[in-house]
Amino acid sequence: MTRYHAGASDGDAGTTLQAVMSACVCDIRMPGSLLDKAVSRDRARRRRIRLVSGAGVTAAVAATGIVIATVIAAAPRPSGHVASPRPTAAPRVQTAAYVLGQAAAAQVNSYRMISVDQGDGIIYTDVATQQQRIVSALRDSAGQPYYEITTTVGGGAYTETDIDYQSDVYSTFTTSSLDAGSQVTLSSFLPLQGNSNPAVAFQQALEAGIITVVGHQSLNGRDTILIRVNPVNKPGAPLQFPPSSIWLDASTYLVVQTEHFVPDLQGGSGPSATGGKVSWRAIVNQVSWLSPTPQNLAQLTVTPPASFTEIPYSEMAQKYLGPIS
Amino acid sequence: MPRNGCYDSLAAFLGARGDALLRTAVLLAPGREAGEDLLQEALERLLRKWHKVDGDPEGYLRRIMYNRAVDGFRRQARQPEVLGLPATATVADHASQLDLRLVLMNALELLTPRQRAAVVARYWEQLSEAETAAALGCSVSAVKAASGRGLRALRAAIGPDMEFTPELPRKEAEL
Repeated sequence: MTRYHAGASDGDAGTTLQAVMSACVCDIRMPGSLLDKAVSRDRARRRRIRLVSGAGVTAAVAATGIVIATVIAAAPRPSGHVASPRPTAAPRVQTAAYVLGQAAAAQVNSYRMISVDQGDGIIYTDVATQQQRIVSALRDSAGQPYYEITTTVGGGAYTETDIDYQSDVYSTFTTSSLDAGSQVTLSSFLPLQGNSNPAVAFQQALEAGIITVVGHQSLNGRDTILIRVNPVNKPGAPLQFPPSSIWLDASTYLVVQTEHFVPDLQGGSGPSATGGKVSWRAIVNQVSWLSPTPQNLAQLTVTPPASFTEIPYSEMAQKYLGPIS
Repeated sequence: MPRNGCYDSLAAFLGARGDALLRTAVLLAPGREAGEDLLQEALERLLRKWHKVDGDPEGYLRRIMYNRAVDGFRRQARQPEVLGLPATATVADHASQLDLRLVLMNALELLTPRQRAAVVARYWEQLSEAETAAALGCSVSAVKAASGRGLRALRAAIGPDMEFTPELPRKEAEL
């Protein structure tokens, strides 16, 4: 019998402690689903980055002090992120600071809405709960999407359902959530920013010199405000990202279109550490906003057809890890 | 590296080393569920940086786990669960493995994250003080202080008479 004595030396105690630890955890085996859960959460994070970065970057515009449309006298400055934008209240002077306040307010108010991000496929997102439905861009000849994914995060659980319409199968799983449910950080993906208050984050982005207000632009007949976001490129880095663009609706200040660039690796001129030329591919997303009516909320969910077969998530993850990540 | 290649490589790596990593995570977190969450979060972070990982990902993964553990992994969620040891737990006269685990996990909960990480690194992973300092991103003297205090706190929590039978399995040699 070995005893763990309070007066024992650290070396003895350490040896004993190691044996105790070993006895406690020796039977623990890693569940095979752990990697799948991590992969799934990583995919969900990527989707959120795509969605939130558009809104975050957008609102970062204001407060640069740039006049984008001078009319007459100074209009009262909106009170940060608590004010609600008035669609019909045309500002008399639109400085970048004014746009910033309105954009921050619009971003906070979008917390109650459902965004529809249409680019490569369609992503419906309940901003408040981060519940999502993703519809693939790939469709068969009958217009049926190849797959759909729904995710929910809340109550300490993350649940994902994947439906593969090509093979008539689906998978679903639930795992613990590290997000504490409703914690949605606005603007967390703004370059150099981590502040959850949009107004403060935008002001900081302004001071960091990463925003340019270009001015009004007609986009498919709609009056928008174009904003450029300069990436934070490290000097000498092999990839020097070009600026991205955000279009705000000129009356609601909500994001209506985003454009960013990704390396065009399929063109054979991918990024290289030797400074080789990199070609860029533009990714344009159209964004629309829906109120959370029961009818609109219903678009966030999808039920696998009764004739479909449920398969383990690991099979689904391996099958689609490439195309959708 | 193609994404499917990433998945296959990670799956193969975890098939070989996943159990050992989870055991360390369970001690660091501490607890089975929290350990799985810690390892899962470390895997997520590894996936984000997979293209930068050159060679064996184990060191990278362990570093993430230790850093997250010291940073107060799930601090807010775990705080309500930090309970004092029941009086009957100070002596594990007839400790089954589950009793032993309960006692140890409760005792580990009482340590600060840095003390816990130092104790796990020194006495479970068998790392040297210098290696532990490198893993935790602190000085050797800080490791000495944290592990010493952690050990004393464990003694106080577990009690002087904790017994275990000699036939209990030893930690695997590769750990």
